[in-house]
Amino acid sequence: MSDDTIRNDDWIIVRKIVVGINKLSSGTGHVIKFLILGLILVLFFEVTSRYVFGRPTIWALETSKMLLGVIGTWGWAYTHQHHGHVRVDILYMLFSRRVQAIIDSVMSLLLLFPLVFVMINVGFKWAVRSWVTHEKMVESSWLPPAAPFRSMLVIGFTLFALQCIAQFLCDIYYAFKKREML
Amino acid sequence: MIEALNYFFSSLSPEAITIIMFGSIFVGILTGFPLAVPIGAVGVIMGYFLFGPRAFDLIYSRVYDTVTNYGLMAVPLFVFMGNMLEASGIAKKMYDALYLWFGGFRGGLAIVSIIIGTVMAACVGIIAASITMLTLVALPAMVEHKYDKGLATGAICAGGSLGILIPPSIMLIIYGPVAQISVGKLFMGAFVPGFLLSFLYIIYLSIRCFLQPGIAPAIPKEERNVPFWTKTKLVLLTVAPTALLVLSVLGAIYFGIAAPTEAAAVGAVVATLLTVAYRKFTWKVLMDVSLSTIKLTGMVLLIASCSTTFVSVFLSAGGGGVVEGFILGFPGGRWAVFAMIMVVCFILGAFIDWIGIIFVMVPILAPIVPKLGFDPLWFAMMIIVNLQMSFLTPPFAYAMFFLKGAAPPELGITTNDIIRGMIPYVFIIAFSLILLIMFPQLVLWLPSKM
Repeated sequence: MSDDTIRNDDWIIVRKIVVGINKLSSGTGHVIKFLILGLILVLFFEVTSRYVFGRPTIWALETSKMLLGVIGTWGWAYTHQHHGHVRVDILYMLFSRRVQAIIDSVMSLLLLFPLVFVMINVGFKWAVRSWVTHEKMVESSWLPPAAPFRSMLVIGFTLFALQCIAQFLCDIYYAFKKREML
Repeated sequence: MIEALNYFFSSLSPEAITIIMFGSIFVGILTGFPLAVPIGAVGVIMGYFLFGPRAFDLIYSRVYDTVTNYGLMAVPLFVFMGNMLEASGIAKKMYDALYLWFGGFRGGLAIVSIIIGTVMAACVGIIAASITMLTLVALPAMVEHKYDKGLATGAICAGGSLGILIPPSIMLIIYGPVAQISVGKLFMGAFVPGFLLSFLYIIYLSIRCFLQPGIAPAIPKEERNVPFWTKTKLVLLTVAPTALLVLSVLGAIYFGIAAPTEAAAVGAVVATLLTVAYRKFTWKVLMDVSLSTIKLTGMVLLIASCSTTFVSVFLSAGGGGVVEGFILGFPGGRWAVFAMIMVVCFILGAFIDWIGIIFVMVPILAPIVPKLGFDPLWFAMMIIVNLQMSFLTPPFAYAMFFLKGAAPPELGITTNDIIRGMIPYVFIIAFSLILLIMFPQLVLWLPSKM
C-alpha cells in the first residue's frame, strides 16, 4: 500500500480523498457491528422479560427499530465498499475492467448520484422539521423523540453518498489510466 | 420545462408507463450496476415526471418504512444465526458422525450432504452459509473417495439451496410482508415442500448411484470400522443440540408464542451459546460474524427501499391495472396464466437475483392471485419453490458462485462439473412443483393446523 503511494503520485488529492472515504466506511462497519449485537440483546431482553417474567418493556420495540435503521442505512456505505450490493453481472462479466469502469461511472452520474442526492435532500428536510416540531415516534406509549433517529438516517445517506463518490473516482481513474488507483 | 415533462408523462397511457418503467429497469439491471440503483432511480425519476416533487418524499418514506420494518428485522438476526452456526463447526461434527453410517452405501456421502443440507436448512435462512459449510466439510471427502465431481457438487448445491426454502428462511421473511401473508403461515407451508424436495433428492441419488456404481463408490469397511454405540453416540451428540435450536426457534413460531423476529433473536443467542459449547467461540469470531451480517443486511434493505419506491410509483400510475388486465385477459384460463407466471419466474430467476424478483414482482402480482381463484399461500409457495431452481440455473446460479468461492482450489472443480451436477435437480424441483399442483394439501395442511 505504501509502496503504491510512492510510485503512483498522480492525482494525489483524489487519491487522498478516496483513501479517507474508504477509511470512514470501514470504520462505520466496525462501529455498527456492535449495533448488530445490540439489536440481538435488546430483542432477547424483551423476549425474556415478556415471556419469562411477564413484564414487556415499553422501549424495546422502538429501540430495536432505531437500531435496525442505523444498521441498515449506515451499512450501505460499508456494503458498497465491499461490493456487497448485488449486481446482475451476466453481461458485465464479459467486459474488460476498463469498460466496466466506464459503465459504472456513467450509471453513477445518471442514476446513483441523483438518487442519493434526493435521499439526502429529503432526509435533511425531514430531520430539520422533526427537530423544529419536536416530533415523537408514536408506535408505543414510550414516545421517544424522532429527530435524533431521523438525523442518523441522513448521516447514513451521506456516508453512502461519500462511498459512491469514492467508487466513482476509482472508476474514473481506471477509465483514464487503465490501472487501479489503489 | 418541468411542466412540459409533467404534462407529457401524465398524458401517457398506463400501458405506455408500464413499458417505459419495466423497459428502463430491465436495461438498467443488465448494465451490471448494483440492482437496487436502477430500480430506485427509475422509480424516483418517473415519479417526479408523473407526480412532481412529492415523489422525493415518497422514496424517503419508503426508506424509513423499510429500515424500521419489524418483519425485516429478522433478516440480520437469521443471517447472524447462520454465520454463527457456520463458525461453530457443527457441520463438520455432523458430517463425521453421518459418514460412519452412510459411507458404506454407494453414493452415501452425497446423500449425507443432502441430509446435512436439510438439517442445516432448518437452522439457517440463507444458502451462503449452508453451501459454504457443505463445500468445506463434504466436498473434499467426496473428491478423495473418487466420487464423480458433477455428482458431488450437484448434491452440495441442491442440498445447500434448501437453506432458503426450509424455515427459517430469509426468502419467506421477505415474501410475507411483501405479499401481506403471515410469515408464520409461510414457514409452516414451506416445511412439507422442503422435506419433499430433500426426500426426492435422496431418492434420485440412490437410484443414480445404484445404476452407475462407478460414479460414487462405497467407502471401504476399514475406514469406517467403529462400534455401533460410538456411532450412535456421535450422531446424538450433534443432532440433539441442533434439534434444540430448531425447536426453540420454530416451535415458538408454530405455537404462536413468539413472532418470527423474536424467535430469530432467541435463535441468534442460542447459536452463539452452541458455538461457546463447541469451544469455537472467540471475540474475533463474534466480530467477524457480526461484520459479515452487515453486508447482507445493507444489501437487502437498500433493494427493499428502492423496489418499494418503484412499485409505489408504478401502482399509483395505474400500472397495476395494466398487469391485472393482461393477466385476467390471458387466453386459456387461469392455469395458462399460472403456467406463464411460472415460466417467467423461472427465466427471470436464471438471470436476476431472487430478492429483486420478489420485491418487484410479488407486490404487483399478489392482489391478482385471489381473483384468479388461487390460494395466496399456495401460490406463494409455488413461487418460492420455483425460485429454488433459480439457485441452480446458470448463468446466475448463486449456489455455483458460493461453491466456487469456498472450494479449495486443489480439488480441481470446474464450472462445467458444477453445471452438469446441478441440472438434474432443476428437473426434480420442476417435478415437485407438479406434485404440489396436484396435491395442494402438501402446502396447505400444516398451516391449517396452526
